Amino acid sequence: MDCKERQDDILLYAIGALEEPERSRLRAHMAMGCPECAGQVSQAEATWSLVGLTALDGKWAVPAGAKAALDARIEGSTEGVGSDEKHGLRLAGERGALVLPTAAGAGGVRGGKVGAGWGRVLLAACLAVGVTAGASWLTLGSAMQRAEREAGGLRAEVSAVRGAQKMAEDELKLALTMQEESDEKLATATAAVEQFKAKLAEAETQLTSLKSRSDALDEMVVSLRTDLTATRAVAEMLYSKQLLTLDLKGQPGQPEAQARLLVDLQNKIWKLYATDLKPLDGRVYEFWLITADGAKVPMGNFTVDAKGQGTLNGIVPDPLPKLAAAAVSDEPGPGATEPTGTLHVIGQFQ
Amino acid sequence: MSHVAPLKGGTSLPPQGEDDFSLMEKIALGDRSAMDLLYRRYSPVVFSICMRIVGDQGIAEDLLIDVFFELWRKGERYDPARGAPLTYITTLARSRAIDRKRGKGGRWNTGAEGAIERMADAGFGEDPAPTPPQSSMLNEQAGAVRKALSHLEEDHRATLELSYFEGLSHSQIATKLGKPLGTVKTHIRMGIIRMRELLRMEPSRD
Repeated sequence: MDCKERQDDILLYAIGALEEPERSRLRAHMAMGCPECAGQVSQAEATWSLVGLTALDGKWAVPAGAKAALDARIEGSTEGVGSDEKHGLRLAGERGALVLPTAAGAGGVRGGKVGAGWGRVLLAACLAVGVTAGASWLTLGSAMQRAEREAGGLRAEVSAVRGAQKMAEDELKLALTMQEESDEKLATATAAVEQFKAKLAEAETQLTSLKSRSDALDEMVVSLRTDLTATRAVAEMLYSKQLLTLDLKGQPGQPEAQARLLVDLQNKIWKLYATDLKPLDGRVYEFWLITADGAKVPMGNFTVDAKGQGTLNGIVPDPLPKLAAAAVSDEPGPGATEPTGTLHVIGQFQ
Repeated sequence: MSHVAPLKGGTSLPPQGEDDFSLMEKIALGDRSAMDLLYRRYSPVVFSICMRIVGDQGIAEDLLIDVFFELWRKGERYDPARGAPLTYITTLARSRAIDRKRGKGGRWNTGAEGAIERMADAGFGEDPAPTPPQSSMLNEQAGAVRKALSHLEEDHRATLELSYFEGLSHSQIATKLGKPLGTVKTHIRMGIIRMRELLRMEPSRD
């Protein structure tokens, strides 16, 4: 709660209406030396006290004799030993003070009877000394009283400042302790984070490695599946009851090259296996079927690997014309309708 | 929004020869002439407050004497940092009068009649009325406060007066007016704030 939020409490406090525990809280706050709240209380007390002025409406006059009674009471309180310290001079604290007679009190010597001449001079001198001493004592006494009051005020201020200082020190200690605890927790948390980061990096490395292996395995699986599919296809073709085979021989440009055509008439599929064909740069191999009437039918194109091996398959045309030969040429690209390049392997149907 | 004439110098009367603070300081040091001057200035206010609260002239007179005697005996207790002398004096008067009304403390009796007679013979027994300028300023100040009170809402004014002059607790006021306790506190709070605004003792909170 800040001082602005205390304003309502301050008003109630100034008129004696603030209840506990708010009252104690506000007093403790002001005891810490808050000039703003103390000022607010003074202002509120001043306003509240003004209500009393409305009683001054001329209805009542101060009774005659009241002042005399007050004076009498004051005088009465100053008569007798220790009756009132104001009549004399206080030398010590408020209670049990030593009271010395003042100049007025010294008037008692007037009753003394002294002879004429030197006696009167002596009396006058004594009186003068007494009056001077009394006046000095009064001045000294006043100064002492003032000093006592100021010292009391200073003691109260020192006490308030010490209280505030003690509280500030306690708060500082608490804050430092909390900071130390926080620092330890932060250091522990930082170390844990570093460990976690190291483990995370290690895990990422392992994950990368595993991923690479996985990719390689995937590729291998795909390759194996492809091979398996091809092998199955070959196996199925080999089991066919109507299997037609044709070997294609290498031509002068590539005498080592050869190819084999399998035609499964039962399942209407065909497959070409070529080997020892030279890899082409910027061109493709095209497979042709040549019918008995000399027509050249393009069956598709393919490339070969480093070993010169390549395959091609397709569906047997329906109806299948009478075939005379099969050949592989090189062409500038897919889509050739007539062989334009060199024939590399050729086979004749019987 | 209307304003009443502002109080000059806060709650203290303008100094007439010597200001209130100086008088209080001298009283604390045992200066009887300062005491006389303070009595002339504020005995009407103190007596009126006591009369308004206790409603009995004899008791009010006793209280008047009690209050000024306390100022004399314990003048050093006054702390100028905590407020103006008039605030201190009226607060003391109200407090003593309410205590008396509630039955705390007995009628004062010192048996100092002999001393009264001696002082009366010496010419100190006359009851000094406030000098006209002092009386006029007090009345002017009282008039400004009355006017400010009259500008308050009826509930606020009545609650303030019941609290101040009747010395009723807020619970008692709530019972008497048939209002919730919180409402009574709000009325008092708002009444003081509004009064302070009307007397221009501080800027408005609105």
